[in-house]
Amino acid sequence: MLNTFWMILKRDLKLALRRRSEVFTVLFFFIIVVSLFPLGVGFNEKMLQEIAPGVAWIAALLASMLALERLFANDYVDGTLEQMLLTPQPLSILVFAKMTAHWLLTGLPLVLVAPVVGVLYHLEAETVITMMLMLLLGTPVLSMIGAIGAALTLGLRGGGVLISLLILPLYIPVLVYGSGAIAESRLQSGNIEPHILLLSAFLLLSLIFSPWATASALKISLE
Amino acid sequence: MSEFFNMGGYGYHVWGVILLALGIMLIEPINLKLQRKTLLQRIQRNKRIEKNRRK
Amino acid sequence: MTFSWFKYAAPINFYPLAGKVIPLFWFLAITLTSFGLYWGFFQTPDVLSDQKQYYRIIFVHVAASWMGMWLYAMMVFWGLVGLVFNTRLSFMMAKATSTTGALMAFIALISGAVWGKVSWGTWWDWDPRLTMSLILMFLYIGYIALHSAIDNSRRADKAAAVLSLVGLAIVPVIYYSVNCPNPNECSSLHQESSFKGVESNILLGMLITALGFWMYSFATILMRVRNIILEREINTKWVSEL
Repeated sequence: MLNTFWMILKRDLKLALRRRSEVFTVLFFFIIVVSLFPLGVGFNEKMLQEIAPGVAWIAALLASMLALERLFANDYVDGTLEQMLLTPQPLSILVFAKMTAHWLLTGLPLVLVAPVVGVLYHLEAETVITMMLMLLLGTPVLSMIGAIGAALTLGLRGGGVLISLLILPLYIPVLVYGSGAIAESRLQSGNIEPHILLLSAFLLLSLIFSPWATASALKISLE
Repeated sequence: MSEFFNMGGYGYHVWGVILLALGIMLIEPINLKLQRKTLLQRIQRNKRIEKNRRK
Repeated sequence: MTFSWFKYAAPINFYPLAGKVIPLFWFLAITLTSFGLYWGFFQTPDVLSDQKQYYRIIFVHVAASWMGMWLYAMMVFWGLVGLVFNTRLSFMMAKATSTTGALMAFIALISGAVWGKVSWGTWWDWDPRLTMSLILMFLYIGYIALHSAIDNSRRADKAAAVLSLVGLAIVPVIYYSVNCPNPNECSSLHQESSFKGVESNILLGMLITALGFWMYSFATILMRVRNIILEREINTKWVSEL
């Protein structure tokens, strides 16, 4: 089983790196959205510091969702996905490998780019570290829950917008606690331990449930 | 009587909500009845087409 | 004569049964709702001072809110039954429930906003209850959007059922996160039930109106499922002989 996991993971990464631009588009989308907010709401330093947590997270949600279509679309179009359903390997493992590749390509870069947000929004170093940590814990959850949406909407027209309609409400807990932690860390007496615990719990729960849910959704979409 | 409609100054709010709710709850079944009529007409038309085809 | 309820799992048998029951539900809906509203408007004393007549809204708001929530659960239930037992009719019931549920959630949202305007002075406030009404609306819209985006009705039914299940599973988490966005400051997990301090007359009005809304929902859902049956089974013999 571990072999299958590694094989699919390596394959997806290799395929994605052949089209490196796709990886960068998600990253730049994140940066552009983050940059648009100050242009829209003003440059007041204090205000920017206050809205930074929410803005960073919302940009991460949107970037994550944008990337979701790519999770299964390419394999669906050339028939590989159907083959995956037919193999004796448990579909959940294959799906989990794809999710991991997806996160490494679209979620992890956001974590690494967080300091840019820190610069644009005048954040302290400590806040930026918290932001990176929360994004690190939260973006996998986004990828995993989003995968369910991607599987359900496989091959449909109106894809991207439809996925957002389905998935964004489900992202709310991650958003609330992810951005709440960053806001909390800006306070003198801020304690972000409960936030970290909650996000970790979400992470664990999605690790357990979403590969299975996504696999079921894939079977439904590919009947 | 007018006091009933006025509702202590909140007439628009109270009656607005009531009208909205009852309005939706009336339009929905009317819509469903219309939908049913269209479906039945379609079934009748299909029956006629089948019969003509058989001839 | 042995009688089996399972015979009604077939659309051909359920259709006439539903047809017979619908008028009964309409009768109950109209009587209960009228009585409930009458009770709410005339029998409840002016508990709050005369300036606060607006509380009459609460009768519609509470009934619609409950229906919004209960119908979502019902929708998930029928979807689950369909996924497990692979019965066509269950999915038809789920689809039929979705529209009525969405309308109820909409009424709840608007009446809730109006309630907020008159009692707290603002059309919207991000308090847990209103936020959850909004999210419920999103869940319904997602369900309906997914269902209508898929042409194949089998796939649409199943996909929407899975979506509604995921939604139901996440709703408590969303509720917790909206109620308690800062875990450091959450004094109590359980908000006090807001029904404790309500006068019994008002409570009675709310309950009767809510029951009336229940009956209404059953009536419209059964009407809708009959239409869905006609639509989907249009190529069968029994439908063409109607």
